[in-house]
Amino acid sequence: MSPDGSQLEKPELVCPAGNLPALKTAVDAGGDAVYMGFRNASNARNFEGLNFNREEAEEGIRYAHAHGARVFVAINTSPAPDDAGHWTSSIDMAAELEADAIILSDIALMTYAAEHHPGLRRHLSVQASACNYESLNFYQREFGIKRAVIPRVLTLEEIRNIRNHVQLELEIFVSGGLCVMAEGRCWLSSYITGDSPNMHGVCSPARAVRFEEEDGTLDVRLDGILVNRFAPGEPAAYPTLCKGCFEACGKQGHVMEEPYSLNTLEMLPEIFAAGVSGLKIEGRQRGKHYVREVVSVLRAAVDTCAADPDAYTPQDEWMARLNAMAEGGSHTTGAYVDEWR
Amino acid sequence: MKLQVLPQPDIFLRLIPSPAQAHLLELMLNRIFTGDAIRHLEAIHGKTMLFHTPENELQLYVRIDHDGFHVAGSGQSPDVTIRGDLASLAALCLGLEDTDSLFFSRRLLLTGDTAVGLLFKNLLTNLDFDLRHELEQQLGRRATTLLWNMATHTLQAVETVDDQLLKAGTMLGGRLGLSPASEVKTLQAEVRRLRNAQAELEQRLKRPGRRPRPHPVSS
Repeated sequence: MSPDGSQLEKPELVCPAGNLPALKTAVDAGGDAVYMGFRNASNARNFEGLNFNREEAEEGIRYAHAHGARVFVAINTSPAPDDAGHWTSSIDMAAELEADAIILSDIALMTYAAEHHPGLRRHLSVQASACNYESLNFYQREFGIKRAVIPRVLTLEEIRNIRNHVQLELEIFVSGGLCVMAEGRCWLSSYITGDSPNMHGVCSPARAVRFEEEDGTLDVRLDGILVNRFAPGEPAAYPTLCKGCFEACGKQGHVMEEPYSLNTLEMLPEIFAAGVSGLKIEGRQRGKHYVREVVSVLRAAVDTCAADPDAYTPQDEWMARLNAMAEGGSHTTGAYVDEWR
Repeated sequence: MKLQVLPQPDIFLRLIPSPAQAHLLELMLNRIFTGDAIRHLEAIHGKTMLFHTPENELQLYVRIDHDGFHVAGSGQSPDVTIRGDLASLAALCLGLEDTDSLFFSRRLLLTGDTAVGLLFKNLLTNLDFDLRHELEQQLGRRATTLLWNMATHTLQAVETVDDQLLKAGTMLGGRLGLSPASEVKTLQAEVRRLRNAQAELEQRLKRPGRRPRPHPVSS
């Protein structure tokens, strides 16, 4: 029950699908919705060999719909200055394939989608970095946005406050890798490699990444620049600049971001009470094994919490299973509680 | 906890000469990955990947072309080297575990052209490879079931009977729908039995003359 005694609404579980096997696995493991991207720079996970071509997307959407799940297509990078073709054609394709929603961050694309496919539901991507209710209300009023994915910079209290001032649905991240907390505005990768998630859909492109190990010590370089060094046996992290280890002000450490995964299992009752509609799991770059583990754990946790939030406590086994998949081998509750940073 | 596809795979590797290992792997890969799967891997055709397991000095150079896999025990400057224990390499290639988790836990290391390695990983994960189905096609249902049950027991096995591993084994048992404590103890006993059998086999292999000497016949 909510604090005012009303029945809490169970939010839907929105699951990552980097390819067709992962999509089917997410649906089979109990995902209410999956989010995916096409195989081009129009989405923020534009890595080699990942994402969907038209045939795969068609099959995936058909599979999800046949099993009662919805499909959201992420088209959440900014078009190139001289050519928006990939982006607008991706919107057209999502509409033709009868996706349930598109996830957008660029206002030009929101305008295009609203004009050409008014019946296609529009969600605001985390890449839009909308962190206050005035901004969210603007997107809803001007572009007909139905749901917004909230950047991972706010406390749960701040999200609850936003909830009280907007009419659109809110979706928040509940699990997976964390960014440097400036989604849609982060150019760190671009400074070294020339590519950013905002324009090219890729952070630390693989062509720029090199791993070298000597006597058990693992060095990680981006275009030749040392960004991280892991001691023998120390859990490793993704080769992103934000999670690099640097010396600053006489101290050495993770100056910008620690390489841990978000885990909100302990906070689910509070998240339910905040009135969010979607619980998003990060990880389109991961395979079906990750998807199966994380979705099935979250499915069990969400159902248990929905049945009786007051009695809910996360099982040790759930924590162990998520930690086994976690970047850096450990987890954090991110910005949702005040202790973070 | 370290999971192994086989209890101590290096014993088999020591018994098979390197060129034969390469030939066996090539045969196996080309039986498993055919037609569509090879075409699916087109983006890395012509690239050479070195699979290296330092603990038993296994080095296999794998190249994929339109006509399938080519495996050799030696080669020149690979595009990418993937290093790890045998179980982790098998998990990567057969899609048995999450590869990013293997990297985070330092069980797999990728050096050289990261783009080729990432592409290889993502293409493999997109194959939706079903090992059990493929084995059934090759070996038949009965043999596959037998092998699968053996592998499942081994995969669930814990290496020692300390509390931490018992807890991990209990968790795995729970996930597989087994009644945790008793099943785990059974599995542990099974592992000890396998280890003893293996140790005995290794001892025999170390002795000169592998055939038992016939008893002298008195005239």
